[in-house]
Amino acid sequence: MVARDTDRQDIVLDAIDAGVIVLDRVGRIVSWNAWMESASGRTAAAVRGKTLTETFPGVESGRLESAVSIALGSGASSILTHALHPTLFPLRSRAGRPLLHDVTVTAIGHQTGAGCLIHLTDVSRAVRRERFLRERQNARYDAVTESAPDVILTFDSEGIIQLANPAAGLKFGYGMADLIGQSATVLFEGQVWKDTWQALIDGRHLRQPVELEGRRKDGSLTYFEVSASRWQTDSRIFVTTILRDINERREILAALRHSEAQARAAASALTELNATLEQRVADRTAKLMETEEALRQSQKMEAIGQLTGGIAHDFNNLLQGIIGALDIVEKRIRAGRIGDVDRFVQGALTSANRASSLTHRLLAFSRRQPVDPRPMDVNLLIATMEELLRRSIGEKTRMTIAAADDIWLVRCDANQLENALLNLAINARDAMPGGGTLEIATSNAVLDAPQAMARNLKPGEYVRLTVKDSGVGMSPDVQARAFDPFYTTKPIGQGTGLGLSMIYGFVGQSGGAVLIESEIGAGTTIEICLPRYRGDLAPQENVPKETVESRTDRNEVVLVVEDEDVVRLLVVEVLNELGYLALEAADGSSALRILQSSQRIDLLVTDIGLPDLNGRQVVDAARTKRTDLKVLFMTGYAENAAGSAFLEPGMELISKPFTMEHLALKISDMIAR
Amino acid sequence: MGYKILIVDDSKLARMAVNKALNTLYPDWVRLEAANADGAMSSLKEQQPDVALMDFNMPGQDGLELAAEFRRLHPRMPVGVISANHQQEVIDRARAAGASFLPKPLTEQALSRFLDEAVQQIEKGAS
Amino acid sequence: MTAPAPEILNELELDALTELVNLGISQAANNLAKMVREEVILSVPKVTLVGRQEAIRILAERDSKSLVAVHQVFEGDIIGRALLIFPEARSLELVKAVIGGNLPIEEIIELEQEALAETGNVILNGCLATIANLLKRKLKISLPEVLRGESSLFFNLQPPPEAGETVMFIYINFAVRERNIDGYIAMLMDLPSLQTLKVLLGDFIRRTAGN
Repeated sequence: MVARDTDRQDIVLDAIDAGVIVLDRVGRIVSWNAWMESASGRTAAAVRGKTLTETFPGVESGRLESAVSIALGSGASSILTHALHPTLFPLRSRAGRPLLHDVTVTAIGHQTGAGCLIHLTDVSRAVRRERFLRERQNARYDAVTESAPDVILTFDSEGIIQLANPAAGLKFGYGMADLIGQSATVLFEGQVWKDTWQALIDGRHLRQPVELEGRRKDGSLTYFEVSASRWQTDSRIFVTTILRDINERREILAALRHSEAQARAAASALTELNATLEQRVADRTAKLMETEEALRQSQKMEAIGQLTGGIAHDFNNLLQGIIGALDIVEKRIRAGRIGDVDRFVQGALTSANRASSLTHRLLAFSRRQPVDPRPMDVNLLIATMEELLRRSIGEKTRMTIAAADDIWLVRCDANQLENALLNLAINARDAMPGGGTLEIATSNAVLDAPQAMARNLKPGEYVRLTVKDSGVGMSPDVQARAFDPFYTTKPIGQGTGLGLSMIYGFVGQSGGAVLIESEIGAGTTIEICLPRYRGDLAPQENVPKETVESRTDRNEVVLVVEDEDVVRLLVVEVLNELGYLALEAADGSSALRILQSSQRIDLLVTDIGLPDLNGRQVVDAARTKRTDLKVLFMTGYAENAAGSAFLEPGMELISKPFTMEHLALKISDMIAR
Repeated sequence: MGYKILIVDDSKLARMAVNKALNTLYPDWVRLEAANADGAMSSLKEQQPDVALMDFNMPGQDGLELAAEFRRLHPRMPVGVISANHQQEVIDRARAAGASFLPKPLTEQALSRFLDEAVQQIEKGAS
Repeated sequence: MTAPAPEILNELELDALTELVNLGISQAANNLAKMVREEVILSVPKVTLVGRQEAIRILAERDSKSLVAVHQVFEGDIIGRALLIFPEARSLELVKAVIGGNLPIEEIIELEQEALAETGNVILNGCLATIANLLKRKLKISLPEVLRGESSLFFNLQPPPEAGETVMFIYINFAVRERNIDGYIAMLMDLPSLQTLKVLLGDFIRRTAGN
């Protein structure tokens, strides 16, 4: 019966599609079903009576033995899963593949200690299916994350890192294995992370990428832009975050902001600087120009002041000569002795011409003229100034002019050079209170290097103008300060001290140099070197010395308007001699009446300063009808003569005093046009 | 002559179990008891026991730390650490502290062996 | 019927029970250590006897309401249910601690159920079998079953132990592979079982401490 029971039991056990092993109270194998025989390759007969360790040498016995002993000893059931024991027994499927299995160990019978049952379940199919699904899933996941440049981290609901891609290890400086199991707080700190995490855990979506501060393993900070989402598997919540490295972007932005700020600061500083600089330069320039202009003017006035006394004396002498000569002429005519009248008339004319020349120069000199460097001949300039200079230095001083032949041209402002020469002459005169010699000399000079160096010039060709006196001379101390503005050795009221400094400035502007040679008691030589100008003279504006050949046969009509009877008489006389028909008017209104009539008028010759309407007004009124009326203005004011801007086409100007020849030439020239 | 033994265990039952064994093994020994490390330290200072036996798993300072402290203060004092935790690491730590390891539940045999050795050690040190 | 447990057991009996649990948990840790081949560091378990509702409340007060339990039934002179309870998140830590290495999360999740069942099984068996042995009694202990849910679910399983109002509540805290795991072992017993336990504890005390 026992045998039959056992047989039947075996038949039942063999029918079970699972492994069944029965152990006795000391752990020896009692039963081993067919499934076990197939899976282990060991027959029941072969294993019966052995322990499991004897049956499977090298089996991971510890856990199994304790499970068996606890079942036998206490009646406790145990489970040994493939999860924790992937290869517990070396079992194979019928196809020969490894057979994954779970094992349970339970006590047999109500009274424990009778033995225990070991039950093995094939879980291969389930495990393989799971594995396949996982691998497929992993492949998809890995395909995305493995090569992603972004950090991809998956956290569990506690914020523990469960998955990390290679970029994560790289960016945070951890080995990938070190990151798994770390808390998010190791990598991220601060409120932004807390808020972001809470939002994610609560299932809220991040509306926009969040900028996050991370900490690398070495403690340094790194920045990311985070996008993230929550997902769920079974009842578990996970959060997967994608972190884009924005350090570079931040750096660029910061650098950009920095440089932008710098640029802005620099720009505003520059603008400010420029503004103030420009303003300052403008202010300074304006002030300088004003000062210069004032200085030049004051210099002129000083010179004029110096001249006035001598000129008045000379003028009286000239007038005396004229009056005297005319007086004699009148007497001789009255007495009928007209034989040598011509001699006196010529004398009067000479004196008058000299006076005219003198006043002309004086006016030209005193008028305001812009600095206008032009090519010029220094000798010519000295010649034109000779008269003025002689009168300036007075009779006690002898003046000699030594002008070298074939002097080179220079390029400078004539007015300034005149001014300079005049100032030097006056200084020389003042240095020779008891009289002496003033020598003005010009020469061409080729300066070699040492000579040029002494003058602070480049070596080359220069025109040298020297003004030498035989006066008291200057001490070295005075010489050193001679060019300082407002330095003067003269008593108060006699000079501004600007003379030499003005000369120095003008010569310097013209590319030349001023040199002083002086010794106490041995006189002073002032040398002006001006660079040679290689070019032609500017066209001369001077009136060519021509005489009008013949009278005109045509009946051109010229209206002469002049309140000064003598001048009007002279002009009319000239016109008559030229063969023109001259009409006369002594004031503007009578002239206008003629002009508004149908009277033929080919030329209007008018003074600008008239008692009622001035010449300009007469012309403007006349030109409303006679649009092409030719007009020759006469003026005694150099100011007017220089300001020829008001002259329209068909208008010209002649400055008083003028010679008859000059007037005749001008008139015939204009009518002929 | 009897020695003074200090028994440290948070379980009264455990202390009783040691007492029971001592009744058989060394009835003439003076027994001092403490329920925790603090009590043990004051007993050590005031009563100057010759031998100490302590539970590993105690609230507060554990038996291993206490044993180390005892050995530091009295390098020749035999100290035993009892624990139900038989993990090798625990046994190693006890030995490193200069203490003997006695597994729980404590058997009379194990206690006897420890006490015999303790007596030898004390007497060797005294001679 | 609803007498609070402390009135059932006197001070020495509680001390003895604590010592038994201590021995049981230590054995469980030893077994676990053997399984993971790593040291399992164990803190002193705290044992309390509480009513069922109190047990539910204590668990509900933990930060995570979502719990996971390994459940085994014990039968013999004492009948009841043993539950190893963790917050769900810690249970994964336990599995990771037991498995070791750095398996991908999906793999751990897949293994979780089985690994948790086996780990809980080792702990509960270690604890229960040790106590039973020390009390000189045989206990038939079932295979483990993993439960998930709230604490109330665990203490209202059908069929309930008769008058199963008393819970021996053991707070345990251990660390494996630098992972700290804390949870509870709850033993739900009916009154006759508790009375039997009282008798068995008396026997145990006498054996251990004499008279």
